[in-house]
Amino acid sequence: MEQQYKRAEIRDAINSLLAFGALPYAALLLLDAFEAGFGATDTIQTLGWIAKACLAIVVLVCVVMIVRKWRAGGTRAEAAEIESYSTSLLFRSATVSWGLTLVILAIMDNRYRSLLEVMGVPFSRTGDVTAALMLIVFSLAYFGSTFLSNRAEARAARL
Amino acid sequence: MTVPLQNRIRVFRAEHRMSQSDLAKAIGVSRKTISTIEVGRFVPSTVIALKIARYFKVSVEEIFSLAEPT
Repeated sequence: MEQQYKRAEIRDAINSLLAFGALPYAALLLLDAFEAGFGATDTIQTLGWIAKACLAIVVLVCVVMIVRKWRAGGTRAEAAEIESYSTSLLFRSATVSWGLTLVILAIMDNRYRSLLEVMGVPFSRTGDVTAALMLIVFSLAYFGSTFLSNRAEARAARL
Repeated sequence: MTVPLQNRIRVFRAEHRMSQSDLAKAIGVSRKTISTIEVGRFVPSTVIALKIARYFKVSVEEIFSLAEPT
């Protein structure tokens, strides 16, 4: 069970990294879209490099974690059996981001395209902006719920 | 109708002088999973509930119960 506990902890850390990694990836998509509209300004390029560096660090740490999880042993069936709050939260956040993005797109309808035009984003980059929106909502939903659960734990610990 | 799931994990942990990490290690889940079950933010699967009950050598009903609807 000790090994399974280790794998569960590592899986939780990987889940948090995935949720965090969604933010620099969303930033890259948005910056690409703005670059297509405004051209490669210094600010966009600098922010792009920062986002790429963050994403590279996340990917690197993720790979290290996956190797550690693999080294912790156990079969694939055992790994799939591990249930965790973090994994359920990750799936719930994905569902929330998917649903909320659809609702936003449905409500805004043609205004979405107009808004992007005002922001200087070409129509061909609508997909990038939409994907970025989904990733941001996904990450915020994950960390928002994590914050609420941490607060509930702290409150329970005080009792 | 949502009926909140109550649990007495904290009580059993205290009786066994265990931390959340100790219980997590004993049943093979993460500490966060145990703490979120304890505060009622995560409804555990039947497998986890049975593992916790088996560890404390009691029935699932002694640990988990449904709150009376108000």
